[in-house]
Amino acid sequence: MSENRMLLQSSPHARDRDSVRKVMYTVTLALLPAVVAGTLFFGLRALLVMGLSVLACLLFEGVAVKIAGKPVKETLLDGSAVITGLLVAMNLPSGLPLWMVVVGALVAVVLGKHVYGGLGNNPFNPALVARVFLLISFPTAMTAWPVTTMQELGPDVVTAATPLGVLQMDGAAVALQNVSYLDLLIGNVGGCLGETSVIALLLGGIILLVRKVISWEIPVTFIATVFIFTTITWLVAPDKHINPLWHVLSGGVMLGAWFMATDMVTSPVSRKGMLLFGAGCGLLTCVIRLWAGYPEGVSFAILIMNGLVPLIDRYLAPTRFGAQQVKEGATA
Amino acid sequence: MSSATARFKRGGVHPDEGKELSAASELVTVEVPKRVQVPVTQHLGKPSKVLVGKGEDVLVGQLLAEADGPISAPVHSPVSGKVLKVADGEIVGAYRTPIIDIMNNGKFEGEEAINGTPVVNWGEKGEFLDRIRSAGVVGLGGAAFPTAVKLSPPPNVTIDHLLINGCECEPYLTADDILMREQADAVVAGCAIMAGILGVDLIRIGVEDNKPRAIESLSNAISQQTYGATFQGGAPSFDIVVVPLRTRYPQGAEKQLIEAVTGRQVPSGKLPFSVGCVVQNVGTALAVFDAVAKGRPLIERVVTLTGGAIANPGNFLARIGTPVSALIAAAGGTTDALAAQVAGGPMMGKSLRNHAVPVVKGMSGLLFLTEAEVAAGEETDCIRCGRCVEACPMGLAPCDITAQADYLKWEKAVELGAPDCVECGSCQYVCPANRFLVARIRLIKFYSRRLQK
Repeated sequence: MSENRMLLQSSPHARDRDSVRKVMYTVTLALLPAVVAGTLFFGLRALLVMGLSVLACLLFEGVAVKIAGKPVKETLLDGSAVITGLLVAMNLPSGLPLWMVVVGALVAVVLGKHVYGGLGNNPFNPALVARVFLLISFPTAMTAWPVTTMQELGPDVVTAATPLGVLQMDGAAVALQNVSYLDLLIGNVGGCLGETSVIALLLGGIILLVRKVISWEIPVTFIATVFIFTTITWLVAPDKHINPLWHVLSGGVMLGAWFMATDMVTSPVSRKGMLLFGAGCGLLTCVIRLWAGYPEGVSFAILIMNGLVPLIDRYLAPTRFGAQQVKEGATA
Repeated sequence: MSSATARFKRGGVHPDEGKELSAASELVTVEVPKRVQVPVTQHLGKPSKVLVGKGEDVLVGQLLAEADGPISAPVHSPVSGKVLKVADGEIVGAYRTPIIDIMNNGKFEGEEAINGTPVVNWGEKGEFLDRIRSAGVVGLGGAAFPTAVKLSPPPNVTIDHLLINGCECEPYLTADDILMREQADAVVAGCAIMAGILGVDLIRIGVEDNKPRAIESLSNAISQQTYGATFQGGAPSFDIVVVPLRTRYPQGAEKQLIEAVTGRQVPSGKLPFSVGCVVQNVGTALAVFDAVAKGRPLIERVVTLTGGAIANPGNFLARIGTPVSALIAAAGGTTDALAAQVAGGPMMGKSLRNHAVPVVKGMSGLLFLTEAEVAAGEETDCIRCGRCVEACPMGLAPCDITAQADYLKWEKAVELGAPDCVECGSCQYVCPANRFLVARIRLIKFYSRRLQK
């Protein structure tokens, strides 16, 4: 009898077959449509940025994990560095100097993640930490938006403003005239290489929802809040503000709502908390877009809400069983 | 009956049921071995006091150890023979407790006195509770709380529901299923006896809808009144209904069952009494019937032996004190694929490390699992995915509670609701990071209780 080699453990003895690794690979899969769209619209240079960012993230992750004395191979295989790498790249203009891409990867993995103890312990979304770091450090390079492969702006034009940039500089009328809804949908507009194609990002979002990697609360409240808020401003001052559909389809809302704000580590754990978190992201995005100095506010909005997550989790904890007494029937 | 919608409202999981492994085969009676080992701790509460000594002759059903105080239960001899010794030994869970070691003379002297024609004389209703108490009946669903105590609500509460737990929501186990299928009359009669003791009219038997045959047998016993065949002296009629419940773990947890059937939520830290309910397991109902109708003490029970690493899975009727090894032999032995063995169900059972431990009153099943069936692996850091929060039927945030344990913040963990945890294991079942959430919560409970003292 092999009694002595038996596994002795505390219950439960059964587990479902999901793992962190499977979760991460599903997210990677869900990002693929946006990878394809990014390559399609911004060319091989976009693919190069993404590949370099992933490789750099893996390298820095390996070094950081080695220094921390954790198992290197297992950590690299958990897939989280690949996702960070992809997300960092998707938040960059495709023409960014390659060394800056590497700096972004370094900031994301080391400052965004490993100084806090690695996967699961970071309070802020690592890819957004990198984006904001680069945006503040290299504002010119980070706002030089290459034209897409299909934009017809003349042979000499290599960069052009993003739709939100046009909106901020030239106003709603010009923006509506220059940017079609179709271009916004498919992603044929200037912007970060992974944020422009609404269709590709929605496809990825559906994959995440169907595979139950994320739940609907954060993306839906995020997008709905942007929509409702900009509906109000549009109705109040239609000549000054652009319509809500345009707001929802442009900039980083889709990438932010489906892939950045839903980052498990940096979002609330309860459904109630997720609703507030998503709404907060949407609200702050609008405030920054409409009244702050930057044309786009998704990154800052999510980072600010990341900072509030511990508070949200504390005050919007799930309702405990037996907390509200059923009115009828209690006999004692 | 397949479209049962009644269920508890929040959380839960649906693991592979695995019940088909053991459900089909007939009940096998395990041959009583030459020696039985009867522990004095087979129930929640104080260990019972040993009344017999070395060399003493005992009969089947003879009192071996008496209840010590109000929350305790007596223990009876499962065989006739001679007491070899009373010494500390190991029981499931690696606990040590005094064990009465009896040499079985194979004659089963005294058996007829406790195995006669069952008669429930309703005129003797006043004695029912005493019979249950002195028969050593405890909750057979696994917790083994003394049944008579649960049938004695404090005087200031009104009980209006007797709920019978036939959910058997643990995967793999079918011991309750086979009782409901094959002994429905006795089970329902036991329910009626308990309702009589409590003075309630409403009896609701909750059964998960993955056991259609059990639901059918119980419903027949009720609709055709066959359960009353043993009753004398005009038993009152009861409002008995079998309630099919959605198959979802932990449907059979006491508070969840009450919510599913009555819509009432037992408040945190309170007992079912507080919402007018008493909950008893179906196996307990059968033991109650035997105690009242035959004067038969609890000296045997049905144990499911199952899993991918046992030759002939099935249900086995075994005398208390029979070593687990005898049950394994009766099931054809384990296979080479054996990777882990568990006493109880896969969600809440205890690891079994020793085949010499005896069958006790609360042992519902023995699992012999292959590597593919068992959860093992290193834990990794929490990624805050929130799945444990979704799965928790008690509305807790296991990830946040257990995070406190890593910093030894027991009081903070208690504030976050750790004492409400029923240790059902749903959180850990879904955790993609393989975290040992339940073990941490047990630690929190242990240390926070120590702090209070």
